[in-house]
Amino acid sequence: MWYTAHNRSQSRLAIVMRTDAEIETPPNVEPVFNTFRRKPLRSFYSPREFQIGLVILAVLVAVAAWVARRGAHPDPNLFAVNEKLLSAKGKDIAVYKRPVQPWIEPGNETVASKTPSFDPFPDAVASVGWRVTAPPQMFDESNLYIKIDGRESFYKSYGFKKLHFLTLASTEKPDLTIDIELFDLGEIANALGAMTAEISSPDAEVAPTQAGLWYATRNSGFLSHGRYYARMIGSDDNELIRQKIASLKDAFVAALSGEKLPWVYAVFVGGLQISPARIQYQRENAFSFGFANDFYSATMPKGDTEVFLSRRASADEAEQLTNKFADGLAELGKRVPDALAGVALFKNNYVDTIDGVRAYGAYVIGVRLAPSVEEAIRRLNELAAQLDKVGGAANNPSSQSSPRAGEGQGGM
Amino acid sequence: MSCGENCGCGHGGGAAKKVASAGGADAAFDLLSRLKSEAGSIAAPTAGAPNVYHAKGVIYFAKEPKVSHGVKAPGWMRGMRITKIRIVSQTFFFALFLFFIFVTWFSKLKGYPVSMFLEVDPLVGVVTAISTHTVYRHLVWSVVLLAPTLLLGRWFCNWMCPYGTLHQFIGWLFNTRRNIDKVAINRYRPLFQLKYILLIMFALLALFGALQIGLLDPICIMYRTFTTTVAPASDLAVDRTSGALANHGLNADWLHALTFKPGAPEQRVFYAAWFVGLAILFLVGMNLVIPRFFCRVLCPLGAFLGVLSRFALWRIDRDVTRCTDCNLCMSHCEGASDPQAALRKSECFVCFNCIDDCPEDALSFRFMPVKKHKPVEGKLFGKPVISKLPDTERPWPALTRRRLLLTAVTGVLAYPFLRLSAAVNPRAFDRKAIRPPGSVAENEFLERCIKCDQCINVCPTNVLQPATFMQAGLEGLWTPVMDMRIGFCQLNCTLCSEVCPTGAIQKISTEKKLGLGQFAADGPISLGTAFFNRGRCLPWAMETPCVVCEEVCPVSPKAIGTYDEQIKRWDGTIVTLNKPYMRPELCIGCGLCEHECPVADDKAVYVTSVGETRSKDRSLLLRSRRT
Amino acid sequence: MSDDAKQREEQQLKAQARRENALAPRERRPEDWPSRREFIKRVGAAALLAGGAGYLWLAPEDWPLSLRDNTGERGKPQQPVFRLKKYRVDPASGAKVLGVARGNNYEQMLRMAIGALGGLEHFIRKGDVVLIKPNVAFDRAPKLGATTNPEVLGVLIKLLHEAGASEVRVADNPIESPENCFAKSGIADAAARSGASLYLPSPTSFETLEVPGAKLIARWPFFARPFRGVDKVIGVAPIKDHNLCHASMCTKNWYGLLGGRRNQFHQDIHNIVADLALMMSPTFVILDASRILMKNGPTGGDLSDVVPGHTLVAATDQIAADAFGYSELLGRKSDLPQYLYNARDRGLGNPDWRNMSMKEEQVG
Repeated sequence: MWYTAHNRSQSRLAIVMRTDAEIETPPNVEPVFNTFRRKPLRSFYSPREFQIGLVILAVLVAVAAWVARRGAHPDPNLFAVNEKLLSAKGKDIAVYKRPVQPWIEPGNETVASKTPSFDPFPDAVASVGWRVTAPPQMFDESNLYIKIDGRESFYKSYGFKKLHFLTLASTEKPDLTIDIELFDLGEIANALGAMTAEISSPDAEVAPTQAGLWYATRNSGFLSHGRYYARMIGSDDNELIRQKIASLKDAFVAALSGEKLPWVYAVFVGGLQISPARIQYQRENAFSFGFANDFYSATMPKGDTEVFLSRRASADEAEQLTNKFADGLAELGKRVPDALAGVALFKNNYVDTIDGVRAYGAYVIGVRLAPSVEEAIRRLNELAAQLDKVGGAANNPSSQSSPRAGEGQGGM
Repeated sequence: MSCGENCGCGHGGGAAKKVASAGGADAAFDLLSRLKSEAGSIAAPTAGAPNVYHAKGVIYFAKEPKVSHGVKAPGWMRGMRITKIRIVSQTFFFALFLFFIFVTWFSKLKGYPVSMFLEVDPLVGVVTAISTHTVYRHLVWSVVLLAPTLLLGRWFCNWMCPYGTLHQFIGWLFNTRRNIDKVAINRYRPLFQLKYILLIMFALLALFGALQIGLLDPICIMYRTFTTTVAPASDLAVDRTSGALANHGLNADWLHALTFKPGAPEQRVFYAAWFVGLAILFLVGMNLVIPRFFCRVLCPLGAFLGVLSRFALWRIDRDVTRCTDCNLCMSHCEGASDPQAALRKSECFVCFNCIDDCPEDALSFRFMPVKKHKPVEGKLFGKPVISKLPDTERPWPALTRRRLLLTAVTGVLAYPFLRLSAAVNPRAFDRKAIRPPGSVAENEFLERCIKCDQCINVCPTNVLQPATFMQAGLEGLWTPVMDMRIGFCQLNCTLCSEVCPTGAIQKISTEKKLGLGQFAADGPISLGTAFFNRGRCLPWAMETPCVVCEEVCPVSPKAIGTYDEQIKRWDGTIVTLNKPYMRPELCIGCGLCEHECPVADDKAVYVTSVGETRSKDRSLLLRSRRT
Repeated sequence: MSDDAKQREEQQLKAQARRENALAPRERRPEDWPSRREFIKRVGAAALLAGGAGYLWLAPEDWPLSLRDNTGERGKPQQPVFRLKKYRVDPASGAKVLGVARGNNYEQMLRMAIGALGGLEHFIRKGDVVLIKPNVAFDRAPKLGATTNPEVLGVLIKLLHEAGASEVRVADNPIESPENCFAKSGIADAAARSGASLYLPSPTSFETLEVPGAKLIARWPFFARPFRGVDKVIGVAPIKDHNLCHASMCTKNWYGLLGGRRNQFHQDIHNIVADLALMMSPTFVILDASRILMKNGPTGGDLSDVVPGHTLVAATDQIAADAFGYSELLGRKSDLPQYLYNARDRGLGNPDWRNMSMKEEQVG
């Protein structure tokens, strides 16, 4: 340490009488901040130093300018979402949402509600190789539109009651699915009608089953069974799907109850060998005649000849209807005079074909668009014969009901 | 010669006496010739010491009187002397540093290079290069600092370093020493070797892959301190004051604009911020004991630059013929580099204060000055003397070989002691060591993270926290981990990856983070997986409807699904409960669910680090999104 | 005598000598006494301190400046509360309750819809400070339909300036990071371009709001700073599916102004939304159906969840607007959400929009 000569006086013990004033206001010896004014002791300043100082200041300004320039060029990705990215996702992930489990007060449960049931689907719906992806959905008249927008009026015109919907997925190939729509249309007639109305191709191979009809394509199957109409649509043209649909058909036929295929189909399909696809059921307004309802018609395999029939409640009603029909036809054509007894035949003015109608017991049967009178008579006889065969409510061909003579003579 | 009034040498008169004054060396020789005739023989000057004369056992120095070689400096030139320029430079860089801290925030960041100080820090660049064998991204800019250091010496410490500026400022502000004490306190102490020891240890650790220079690197300390203590404290003060002013109807928008982090709905908090605060107070306070305490004793960057100054072409040169040993040059010497003796190049901060303080103009900043004077022998009072030390500089730091060796051994041994701790091993990693998105795997992370906390600074939700020993062991102290109770990872944000200077968090785009576009096959980056604690979850355990976690889950489709169930509660009411469950293939570990869960003390859904995509060690599912 | 006895005797003698020689404290000489001034100063200072402290400590509670707290009640933190004023304006004559504009040009649509309510001139007086509360809850891009359409907001601000508003403020307290949400949803940009000032939350922006009659938010932290000095409040809410309350529309939009632990309200969501209708009586609300988030709300996140709605609805009855949006715009056939009935039962609005005066028009 340095020994300071000029401080010796201060380091000597000093005994000094101090006045009160000095005691009460001691001198301030401890400054808080640096109080020295520093003066540079150098006297030489080179011009080089000054120049370098300027250079350094210029460098500082350049740094500031560089920082400012960098600041003006931000990375846009950091501050805004690139909108192109919004749709640039990877594979879409489909999320399955379990439905809400409702609260069931204990004691109100039934066995059925405990176990998951597929009603009315048969249990065989889920088999080896196929699994149910979701519980069946049920739609009625109020919410059918949710499922089938646009086609609901079609089904409603066929007496729609309920739709049960189920989707199956293959466990081997998850891409393959089958949508099953099971329509409850109330009556077998409706089911048959809806199915045949949907079949567009006249050459479709439709096979009768014990309670309905069956038609399959490369990836789908349509079955009417009793009052049910099942549409099974597969997602792909695949053998697995076809097999499954065939087995579904068997399952439905086995499990669903259904009345037997109506006599109409027995007559047309079994007797006249008409393909069921060609059978049409017109509930009302048949052939544009307002009074004509509940008519079945079928086009013969060769040609355009159409036979039609309707079952009425009684022979009288059948007769009345026949007469009305005859009147209606008379407006359109000329009565062919030498016809079979009891048969009213007319030659259509416009298309040069023969139309005919007769009452047969409680049935009204007839033919349209026949190329010739012989053909027309032949068809009518065939039809009558079939009706006899099927029997049941078929009355004997009564000669009592005779076509009205003289009416519609001449023609328009 | 007599000393000036400000001289603190206390001799009251110098050992050298002014004999006579004359103009010019020739005139002095004439004078000596006259003296010789009186005194006897006079030895001729030697080549090594042109101004030294001997006569009868007396050594005479012929001193050239002061002659100014330039123009007489006018006032403005004195005002622009080099030390003033230095102060301007220091102020500029400190202000720039404060500016960078201020704009490190989503709304202010724009394109500013906010990690610039870290990126030009040569210690960060070199030691990270040692540990990772690469130079990442902007770290190449450290050459901007290295090149002048090789030429000029440790200019950075007193011209640019903001930490050094802070120390110098506080030291100057509270320096009430008298001149004599100022000189004493700026002497070189052996304690200053400590920084070289630290540097060697850190370098050896880095060689083995453990990067710890961030603990003591001055720039890292500055960023870390400002992030965790200064900025939040300032924001608290500004917010409270402007809130109080606004409540009384005064317009406080000007004050509110000084907020470091505006738009943060809650006060930002950080783990163990008290420790960082106390550390800075201690280190800055030590300037009142030893000036530039940190810079001289602890700074590894200073040590590194000091070693690099070995071959500096310019340095402070002392003209021995003018120097009167008054030691005034030491009164403001920042580096304690002994300008009055052989200059310690590795300590000199190139502050030029000594040049300002020398009354004899003996000091100058010279290009390639003489390294060694020829020693001049003579006799003084009959005793043989040698004129001063022959060396004019000490190029290397004063570290003995023994110390060097022991340091190296310690450094080598420290590595396995650190790495064998459980927290950094794949079998026992901590569940809460959740790293930011874009981080590299943990071993590599510890090779890269310099604990600068820039990522923590910029994070908009305050989810990033400087780790304590718990999450990642001693090696992971102050590295960033996520605490989802405090914040969450904002879905579309990648700011942390932008500001990381060393690539511990690799720069990623939003596309990569979310697994969109070209990264769709890789899938999104996952930070961890969320887990449900069904015993605490309101719908699972308490018959109470709540579905906040599923609502706020930001991914689409959501990573949280619900089992919806209607029940009759204990009080007879029928409620629909949405009981949440996890879809681990979709969860990215962002932590919004944990953050929003109303069970505030111990969340019913919480994120842990398993399932993160950055490392195979910590994966959860076999079949993850990544194909 | 023995040595011990001798010692004892010596000690006793010494003690006695000490006692006899003991000196009483020296008597005070006159100059030792303090001066009178000094005496008064000291005694006065002591008396003042004792008196002051004694008063503060001992005075009964109701005396001024008393510190007494007998029951602990006074020591509890006093939260200053404030109340929101009603921002509703009396309807103009002939004004409808709902104005529905269909089309693509937002400016024409807004003019038509607000015109049906009476026009902006009826609601906004010159110099009004107007606060718009959009939905900026998430950092979703505008196309994802989870936040208010920034173009609609920009047009509304422009119209407000036209109508004479002196300042238009845009404020929200989002669930995610506020700066990110405002920036990435485009709202910050729209506000800046239209000259509105943006209010982001900060720790001291929240105050305790008192809502008399509310079931759940009788007192709750509320984002109050933007409401200082505001004359009119308009809510602009997008129409979104919501996983909990089935739809998030105008009434639920005010949720974004709540602070504190608002994540608890999901336990009773229908009552909190009804309480929000009680809390805020806006000048009018806009239901922004330019994009409709049909499913996976309220966060959305997939473009396939959003359909373009081409509709903007303005209403003075936010319950009616919500009911309209639920059945007509979201197309839900199921029953209205429970909170609409809760609100109706508390007299906060009428969900029966079909029987209210309404004007719907195709514009542009």
